[in-house]
Amino acid sequence: MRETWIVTSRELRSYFTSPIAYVFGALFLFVQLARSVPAIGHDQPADMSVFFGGLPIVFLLFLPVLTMRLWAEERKLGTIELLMTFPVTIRQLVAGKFLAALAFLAIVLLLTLGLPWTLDGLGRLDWGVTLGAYAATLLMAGAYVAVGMFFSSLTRDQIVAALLSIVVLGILLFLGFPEFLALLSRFGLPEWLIELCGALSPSRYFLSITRGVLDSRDLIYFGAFCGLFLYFNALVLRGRRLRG
Amino acid sequence: MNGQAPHSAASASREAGFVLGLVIHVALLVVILGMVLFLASRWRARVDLTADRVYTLTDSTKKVLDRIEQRLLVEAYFSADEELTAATREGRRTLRNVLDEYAQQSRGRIAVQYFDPGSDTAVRKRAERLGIQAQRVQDLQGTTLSTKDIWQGLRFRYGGQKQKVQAFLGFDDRPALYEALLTPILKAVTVTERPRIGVMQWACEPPSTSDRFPRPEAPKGFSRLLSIEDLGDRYEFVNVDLQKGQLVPDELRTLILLRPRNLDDRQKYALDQFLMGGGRLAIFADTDDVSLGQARVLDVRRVGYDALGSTLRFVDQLAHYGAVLHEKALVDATTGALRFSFAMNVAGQTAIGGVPYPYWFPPQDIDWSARAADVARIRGVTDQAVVETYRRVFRPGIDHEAARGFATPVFFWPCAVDLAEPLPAGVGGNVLMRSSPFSILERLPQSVSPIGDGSDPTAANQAFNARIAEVMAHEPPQQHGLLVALDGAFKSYFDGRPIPPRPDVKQPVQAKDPLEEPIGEPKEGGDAPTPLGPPIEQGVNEAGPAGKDADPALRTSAGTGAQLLIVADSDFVRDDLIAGEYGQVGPVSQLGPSFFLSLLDWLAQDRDLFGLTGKKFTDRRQKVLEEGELTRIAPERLQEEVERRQGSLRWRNAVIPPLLFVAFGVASFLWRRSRKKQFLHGVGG
Repeated sequence: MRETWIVTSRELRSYFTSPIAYVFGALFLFVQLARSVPAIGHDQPADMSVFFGGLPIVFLLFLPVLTMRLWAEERKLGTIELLMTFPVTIRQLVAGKFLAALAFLAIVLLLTLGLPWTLDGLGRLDWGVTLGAYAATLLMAGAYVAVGMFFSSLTRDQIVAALLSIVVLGILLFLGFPEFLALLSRFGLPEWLIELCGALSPSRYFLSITRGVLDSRDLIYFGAFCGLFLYFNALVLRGRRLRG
Repeated sequence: MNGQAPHSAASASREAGFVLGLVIHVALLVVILGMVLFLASRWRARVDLTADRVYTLTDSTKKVLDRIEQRLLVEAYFSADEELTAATREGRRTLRNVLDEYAQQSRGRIAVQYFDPGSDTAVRKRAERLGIQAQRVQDLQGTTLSTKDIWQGLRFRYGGQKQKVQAFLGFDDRPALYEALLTPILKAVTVTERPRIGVMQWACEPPSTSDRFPRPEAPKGFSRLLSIEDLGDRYEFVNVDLQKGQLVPDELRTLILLRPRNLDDRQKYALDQFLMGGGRLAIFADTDDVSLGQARVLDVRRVGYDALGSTLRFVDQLAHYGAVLHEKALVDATTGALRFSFAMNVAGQTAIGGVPYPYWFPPQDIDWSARAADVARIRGVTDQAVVETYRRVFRPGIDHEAARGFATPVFFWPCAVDLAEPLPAGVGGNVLMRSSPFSILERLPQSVSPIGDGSDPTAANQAFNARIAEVMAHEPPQQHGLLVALDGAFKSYFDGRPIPPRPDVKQPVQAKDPLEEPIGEPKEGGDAPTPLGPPIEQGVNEAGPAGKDADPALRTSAGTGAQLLIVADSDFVRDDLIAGEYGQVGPVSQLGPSFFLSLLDWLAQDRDLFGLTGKKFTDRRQKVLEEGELTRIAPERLQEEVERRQGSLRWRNAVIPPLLFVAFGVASFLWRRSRKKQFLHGVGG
């Protein structure tokens, strides 16, 4: 645990010494808030549905950029060998980097709290739903980060890692769109397969929580999703270490 | 070479071992994950994060589910999800969730089976036999508009005997609306006994003497209302006739008076004693009969509550209990008023015109106290002290938790009913619904047509509106009750008054004073008590010869459970208006029957469904301008000011957080550079 914490804090510090992280953070905040501020309006309901509604797509564009360097850069700079000599296990390394990325995102998301605060001042924001939606955002971000880290561990090219993440996450995201599922049904796919496709998408579970219902199925999905990709990530690193 | 071979072999063996381990790991992981996901889908837990508990089944529903004794099968005739349009998909998901929640909450007593009539001809035929039909729904994809036939009907089968069919449920993503629809059905289909409700009804008898209205309009009763299936599923209605001087049988605990008129003193006594016996009395009152007909003449005839020769006034009797029933009509000139539609001739063509008609309006769920400044602005009041008075005096249009959940009907030419001040000792009361502050009470003129005789609708309507505006200008803003509920220890109106005799009783009332000879109480060693009136099963209306049974002792004070409910209108449930007899341009009381059913639940104390209908949702609309500012800012600048503030807030929210983040980055960079310089300086760099 202590080792994981050390890796996390080291990684987190590295974010705040990197200009890319600041550019990422500022750009993400501007894009996300600029598309959400029309929610402020006289006689409009005080809720954050606009903010959270488009978040899966915004994350799709931003998070792979954040995660692409996590392993690929270590490999490119050759620091991964050094990393492997540290007295920490691969699991602790993976968990540390994962938690650091999530912590960085949580800090960036904290800066968006001005919007719900403003809405609460103008109307009566439902804070239960809003805080639940923020928690769902972190869960979804965790899923995206896990996928991004996995692809970052497969290649030393950051751009390739980012593109692979965007493609895979994009497919998973679109699987959750009802229009996309309707399109699949037109191709004559069996219903169970279409249902399975829909059930694979993180957006379905994310939107379910942002409505204001915390369902054990949603939590288990995100837990399983993150766990699976982090496990694959650890397997890739372990295989690489075995190969020398 | 020799050394490399074993090394290579060892490496290959290690790699093979790794791959084998990997395969086993992944296979195990997939199996475990599959099991976890399967179990999670079977036994799930949900936490409703919303402040209004939007996604939580109400206690009312839970109570209904707890009382289900046998197996309830819900057959859902639903089109496949992929057949739905984008706009309906979320509603379907919500409905499935709600049904799932019912099944889980019932602990296995409710089972839901899904059938797709779209893919199976036999299923479709069965659905059609049940009366379930597909509904045509519009589907907009890009710029292409098409239609789809969607099935979404339910059949409820209980214990193999009772069943009920809901032919189609609309699409809505608010679970509470599905709950409000489904729970009463569950209750109706699983209920074993229906409460009995006595009904006394008098038809609306509009005048028929007008030259403009040559054919007499038939009286409009309430038979359609009382034969509505949803009402009949839940309540048994018994006609009560007090013409022969009987009292209301004790077996009835709830009595409804629909449009009472011509009540004689004996009937008033019967009603009084019913209330004193702990009965629940609901009065749907009206002061005027107004003709409508296809000709929309709108001539007025006054309704007299009291029969000719009656010495006691019904309104005085009600005032004695704590309710002030105004014998005037209520006019509410808010924007909520229904439109009066009429045919007009425009350049030789018949067109349909419409004007707001302030005699038809719903009570509005508005907190008028919070809108005091708006009311003041509209009435041209600038004095802050007056605004404060408004804020103190005004009350919400719908002012009770239960009433807020009622379907809100449109009232047609209502009168008004308020609470007496002060209320009688031991009596409590609430005004559940009231008009807006833009209302006045008036004795209706001979005609209340907003377009006169129709020859010049525009001019006539201007005159109509001018008359109301003038009256309103001279009246202070005031609200009046439309629905009043009282309960407690009512005192008999006839305590200290002579008891009105039965119509054919000749001897003086005092000779039958029940205080001297209590009838109905078993006499020691005597005969069995004389039943009060005929048993209800034989028909309350066919009482034996009046005078055969003497009156029981006067009840001077109400027993436990006595309740009096007065609604200031009955037109909203009369036959022609709930049936929409006047075509598409005529008035229709769409929510009248639902409101009536809510009131029955209230009266019959069907507490099961109170929580369901009373589920309220917080008003979460944003107010960019404060209440007080509305009066300070000139009306023509209001919109501009709203936009200016909105723009400012949007701008600040979009720009300040990223700037803060960048500023932190710059500060951090400068700090690190300064530390680096210090370090280099320290080591002599």
